Amino acid sequence: MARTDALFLATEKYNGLLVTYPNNTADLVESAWNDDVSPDGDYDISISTDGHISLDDPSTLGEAFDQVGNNDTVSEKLNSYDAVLVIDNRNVSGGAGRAYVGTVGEDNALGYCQSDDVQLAAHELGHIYGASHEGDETHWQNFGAFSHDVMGYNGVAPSCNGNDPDLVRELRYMDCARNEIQDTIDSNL
Amino acid sequence: MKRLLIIGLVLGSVGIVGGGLFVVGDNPTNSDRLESEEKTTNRALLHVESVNNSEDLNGSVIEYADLTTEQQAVFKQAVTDDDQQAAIPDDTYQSVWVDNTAVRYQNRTYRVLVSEP
Repeated sequence: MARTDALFLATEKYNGLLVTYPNNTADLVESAWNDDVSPDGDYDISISTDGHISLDDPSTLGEAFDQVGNNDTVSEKLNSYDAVLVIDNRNVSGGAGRAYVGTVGEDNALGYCQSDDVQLAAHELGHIYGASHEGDETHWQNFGAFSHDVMGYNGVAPSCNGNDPDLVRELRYMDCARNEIQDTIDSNL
Repeated sequence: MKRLLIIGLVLGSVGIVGGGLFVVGDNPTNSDRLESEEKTTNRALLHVESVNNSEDLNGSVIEYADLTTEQQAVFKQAVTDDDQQAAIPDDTYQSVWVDNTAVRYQNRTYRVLVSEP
């Protein structure tokens, strides 16, 4: 039985807001994960929210992601958690989030989200745990077509349902993502 | 009256052309940034980092020669890039950089990471 601990780490942009920490986002992602990835309790996740970091006013997603990767607090937190996802609250250009793929348990097991959008957070967390976009080469070879889950990515790679632009991303880790996440946990943790 | 109309047309044309030049001559720094964003937005990126001691790496190391031609092209682009990263085309199999920790290339070892949006 593998259990993994992840951290949602808010930035200074949360200061002064009614919601000080992304607690609700963490709870929703944790619930979806434990329902879908760990139905038998074998791959449970615990997502904590603890502390803040400050970013140096990044204007692009690339800048924000680089700053997160070089942040001392993030590095320190990775000594205690298997993965760290930084949750921001600012507009950056060039995308909404980014994460290192399949790095859980390593010193680069990190990602960045420009907002506390729950599906965005679930998506980037999935990447850290090895999940790729639905429709990527691996998926088509190994899994065929499945539902359009939270790792779906319309307009870039075809989703498991064939890149239907009318499909709506759901807060679910379906078969495509679940197998990759379980394999990565088995391999890395 | 006809002369005034001609003068008005000339001045109007100058204004339009001037406005066009103003738009075309946008801040080059901004243009560079937009071009850079265009290359990386919605793309998987390969990140490389030269390491001094490959024994510090946990994981397997793959030889550059064992990469496909497409993978070699992306890898070399990342090695020579100022930010040490390169966009991975959709048709390039990227798992090789997730499954392996580093690439051995020209007697140096490069740690490799893939990031996804």
